[in-house]
Amino acid sequence: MKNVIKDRDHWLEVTSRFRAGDPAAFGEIYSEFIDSLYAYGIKITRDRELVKDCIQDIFVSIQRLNPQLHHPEYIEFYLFRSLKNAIFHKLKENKMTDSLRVEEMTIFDLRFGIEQETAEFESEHLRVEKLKSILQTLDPQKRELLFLKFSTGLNYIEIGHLLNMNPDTVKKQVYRTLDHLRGKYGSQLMELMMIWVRSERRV
Amino acid sequence: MNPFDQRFIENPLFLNWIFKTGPAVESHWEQYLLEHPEEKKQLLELKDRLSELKFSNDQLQVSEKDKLAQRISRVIDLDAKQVKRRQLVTSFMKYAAVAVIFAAIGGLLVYLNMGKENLYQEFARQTIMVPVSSQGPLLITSNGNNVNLKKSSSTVDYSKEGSVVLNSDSVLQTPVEELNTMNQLVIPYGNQSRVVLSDNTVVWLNAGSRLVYPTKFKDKTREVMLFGEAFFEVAKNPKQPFVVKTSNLDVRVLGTRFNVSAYAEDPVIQTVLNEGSVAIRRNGASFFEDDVVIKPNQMASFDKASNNTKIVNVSADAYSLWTKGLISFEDDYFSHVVKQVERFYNITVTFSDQQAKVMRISGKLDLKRNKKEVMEYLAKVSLTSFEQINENQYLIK
Repeated sequence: MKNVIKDRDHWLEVTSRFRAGDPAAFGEIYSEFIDSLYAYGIKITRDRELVKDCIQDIFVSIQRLNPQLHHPEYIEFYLFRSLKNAIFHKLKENKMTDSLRVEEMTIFDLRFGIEQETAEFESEHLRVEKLKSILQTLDPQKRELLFLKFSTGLNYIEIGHLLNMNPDTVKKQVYRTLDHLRGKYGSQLMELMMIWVRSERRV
Repeated sequence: MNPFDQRFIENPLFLNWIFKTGPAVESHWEQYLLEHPEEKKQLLELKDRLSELKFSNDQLQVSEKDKLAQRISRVIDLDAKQVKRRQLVTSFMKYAAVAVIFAAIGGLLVYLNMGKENLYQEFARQTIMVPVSSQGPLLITSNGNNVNLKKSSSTVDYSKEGSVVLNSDSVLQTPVEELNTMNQLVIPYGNQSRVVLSDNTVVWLNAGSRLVYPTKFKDKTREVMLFGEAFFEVAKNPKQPFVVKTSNLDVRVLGTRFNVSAYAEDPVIQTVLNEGSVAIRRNGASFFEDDVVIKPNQMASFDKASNNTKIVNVSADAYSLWTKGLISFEDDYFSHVVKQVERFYNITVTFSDQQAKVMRISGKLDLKRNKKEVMEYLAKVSLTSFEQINENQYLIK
């Protein structure tokens, strides 16, 4: 079956349709990004309603500002940046802590699936524990970085903007984290995977 | 980081495959592996390794997403109305010297038209995703109530004025309607439903579909909006044509029986006519473009990518057999048949042998059987075997 691959080019095309006033394009943008935007927002703050309000605000504002969005910024980046700003803005408003930087108060609460897994087999146990201990060394910023790299189509420059980091540093950080996982653990991975597959079969 | 890993980690589609996959992405990589068998081992190993880094996501419920979409479109419509009103006032001032009455009537027409167009856009804006399997069919009434129809094969009947009969027993009172308010019936995978509309038109909705319709048809045309697949038995009324709106085209009829398949994930929209005649008009067709008209036992297949319509002769009954709990396929791709079975039973079927997908098979499936029996039968006709991975996942070998 031939389907549309939703890559950057696809979204550029959708965005230009949206600019031309095609309401279906607006719907497509919403349907595609609502999940990852929410996933991102809920990791910045645990307040579901606040995240939903902010998502509403940014979608209303892209519709309102549409004719003024001359600058051909990548829509996904625009949405993620607006959401992060909107959440920080609302948090500031709510807590009235203008003396404190909200950025410092929020944690990027990303939990890897494997961190919550409880092991069933002994081999499984070994595998999970090893990876868990490595992942525990990741600070919130690295977690946010991995989230953006894995679940969005943003490039290093855009991720750098969001994290207030140099794009090269972002790239290095991604590689270092992945290498780190591989170095400490990767050599045994294939072997462990085999055990895992076998134990699955036994069930 | 070795160059091989690097190449793929810098490919957003590869990361999509692991963290945010979908049918298009899956088939892209299936194809890639077919073309580059030498990279298969290394690529799958990298995928496995990165898969370890999947994270848990607190997700929005589909109903929450729809509600949020509605909230957004309400604010936007409000915006649009204010702009329109301002424009109307200025134009009114400009032409005040010209007939005042004329301007007032014109203004009213603009409002009525705008209301209706916006309404369709509002539904189009809503997430076109279908609810998760655990829910049964969901009726969202015009006043915003959500009614769970519970049964996987449900009925909704609007033919008696002032009330809606659900599953032939429970009755819902309909409030005095405002003009143009809409109901929605959402059918998740693994479910089907039959709706009798107020004009006695009967609509069968297939798994993974959504129908938007008014409680009563008050306009010049009877308009409904379809996401997914439905079979229509339209009550004859030459004075009030029946129009099925889909993402890319409208199907206009006076009174006939026909099947429309317009799943968002499918590349084509298929209209199959059993009786009478239908006219198909794509969205955005220019004034000079003729409608596509098909005869009974013909299928119009509209390609979303190229905007072209192909007409082929078919046996129309085969395309509506699903309303009777049967699927018939003749010389059809194995993968296409499996897709229908996946939607109906809400299961996932993967192929370990890609060649099997393009194999052509013929036969008939009784969907009243359980999924295991159907899978066994499919394996038998296709000369393959399958393995049940878990409750809802199968692997064809």
